[in-house]
Amino acid sequence: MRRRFDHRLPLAAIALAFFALPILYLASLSFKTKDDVLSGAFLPGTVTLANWAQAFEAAPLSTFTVNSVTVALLSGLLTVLITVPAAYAVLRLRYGWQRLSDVTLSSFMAPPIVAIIPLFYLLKGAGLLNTVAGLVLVYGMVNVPVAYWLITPFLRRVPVELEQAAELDGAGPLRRLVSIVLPLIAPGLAATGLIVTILAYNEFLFASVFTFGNETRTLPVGISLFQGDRLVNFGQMAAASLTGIVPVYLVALFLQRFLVQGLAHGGIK
Amino acid sequence: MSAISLSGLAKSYRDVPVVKGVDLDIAEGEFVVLVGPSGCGKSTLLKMIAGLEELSAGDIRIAGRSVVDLAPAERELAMVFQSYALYPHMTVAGNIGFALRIAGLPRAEIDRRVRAAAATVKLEGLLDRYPRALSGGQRQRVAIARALARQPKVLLFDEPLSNLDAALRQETRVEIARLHKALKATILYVTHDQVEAMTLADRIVLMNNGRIEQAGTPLDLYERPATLFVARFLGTPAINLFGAARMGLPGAATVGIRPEHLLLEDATHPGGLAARVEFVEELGDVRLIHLLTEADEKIVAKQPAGSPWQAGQSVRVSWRTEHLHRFDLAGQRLDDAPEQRPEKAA
Repeated sequence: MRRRFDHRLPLAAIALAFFALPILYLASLSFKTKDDVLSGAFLPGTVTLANWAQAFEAAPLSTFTVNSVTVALLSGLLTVLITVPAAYAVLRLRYGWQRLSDVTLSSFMAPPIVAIIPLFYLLKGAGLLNTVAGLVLVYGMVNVPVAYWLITPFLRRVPVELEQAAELDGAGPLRRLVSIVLPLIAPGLAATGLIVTILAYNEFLFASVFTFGNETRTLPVGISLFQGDRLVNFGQMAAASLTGIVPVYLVALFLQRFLVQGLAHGGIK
Repeated sequence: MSAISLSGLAKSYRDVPVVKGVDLDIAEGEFVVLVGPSGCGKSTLLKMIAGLEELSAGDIRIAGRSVVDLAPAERELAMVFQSYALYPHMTVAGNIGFALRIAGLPRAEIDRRVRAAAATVKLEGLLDRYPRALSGGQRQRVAIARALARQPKVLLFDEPLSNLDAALRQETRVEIARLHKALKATILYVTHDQVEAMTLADRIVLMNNGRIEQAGTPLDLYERPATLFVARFLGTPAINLFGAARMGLPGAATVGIRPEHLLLEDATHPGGLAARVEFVEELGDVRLIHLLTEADEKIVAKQPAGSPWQAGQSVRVSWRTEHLHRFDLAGQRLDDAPEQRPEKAA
């Protein structure tokens, strides 16, 4: 039997082209010669691997990548470790100021650049300037409002009766959080962790100010270095950018089911 | 000694009183049903006893010991929630044994008690299942087994049958009654369903507006309601109410008579109230005859199956005075008339 043509396909193709085109252009750029880049054609006239080789020679891309992945994973973990018990204490144990949930995001709304000078001196004072640990600490903290905002609906959806039942069963607040609440908000926790990790991975401004040696620089800062004083090395920059995209794309590809499920369903029925 | 003793129990939310001074003693092994309309404070009262709601005033004693300052788990009681509140990520065995694991019991003991509790509610074959793979009735039984496994002094039930369909509700009701008989447990059971209250309770405590309206055996409450509210709340169909003046009964403000106590006669019969049959509900074993009196009062009479009344028919309605419930203006029951001759009202 002939399969009927699905009319949603062209729409899907347009959407795919819209989102994939910049990436494809970047890929094409990374295989172009300098002259080709200036011609503006979509496909390279002559395919060259020189940009890839030179990109890895010109800058320690692998160190940048390792730094980025380390900073992103550790700061993501730190954010979740701070946020989950805090949100649980505010929302469920009714600790502290109850309107906090409404204003949490406001600190995230301020332009990040206003925090640069105080953070710079704080890190300097702590001896953490130009260190991976310093960046982990900064990202771990600045992403707390976003994580709080993301995890709140999941926490609210855990039925109060479940916790009351656990309380009658003899579980204290920490036991209730670990044994009852966390397993139930696991999809939300995964989605939140993933988002703050990606935010940290992509961050540029703080990294560009708080790190100034190749041994501590992250990938976004490293890529920006391909921009010379007079000449922008587009081909190498494209190769470096693609290298930077790969880890995030792999994570998104393998965990997207988790991400969608977590954000769409709230985890508990 | 009472299993539970409540004195002057009160609870307010931001100056709005929800429970207004409740005194109640529950004997060991007694099955007490707290019943009342939605919002009357019965669930709040139960949660106060469980320790899940703080008290505004009063004292709670369980087995003679004040438990007001004790955490819920230290009060030696267990609760079955309306929503079952099963831990969705744990198996049936995990749910039943959760409290025992927290208490740090040895594994073999936990296993033994989980199996014993499961056997009591016939769940033996389902111990490895997750709650999502169970039917509503099975989930309810897991919730009961979880409560039993802790071997509490008192079992609290918060509207445990309200999420079940009618057939399952009756089945589970019978099971709970059987369980109470077998375990001789002290049970405090909250419901808004009067059938549950009437069939399960050794004693019914009827609450209204944060207070106990009347406490007594089911028949006590049904046959001698202390207030107009109790008379109205218990009984299906509801009690028929008339203005006392119209009935020629001095001293009373309102007179009530249960549908099963109304006598219907042919329109040619002397005495009684004239009425017309509006419609008839056939329930199989009985017929509910809906009537409209000359004064436009809607009343219902419960008649045996096979009674001859049809819609549109004119009838005379009468009763025996001993079946009348008389209430004053404040809705309080007036003592029964000194003469209770089995005669028909004029």
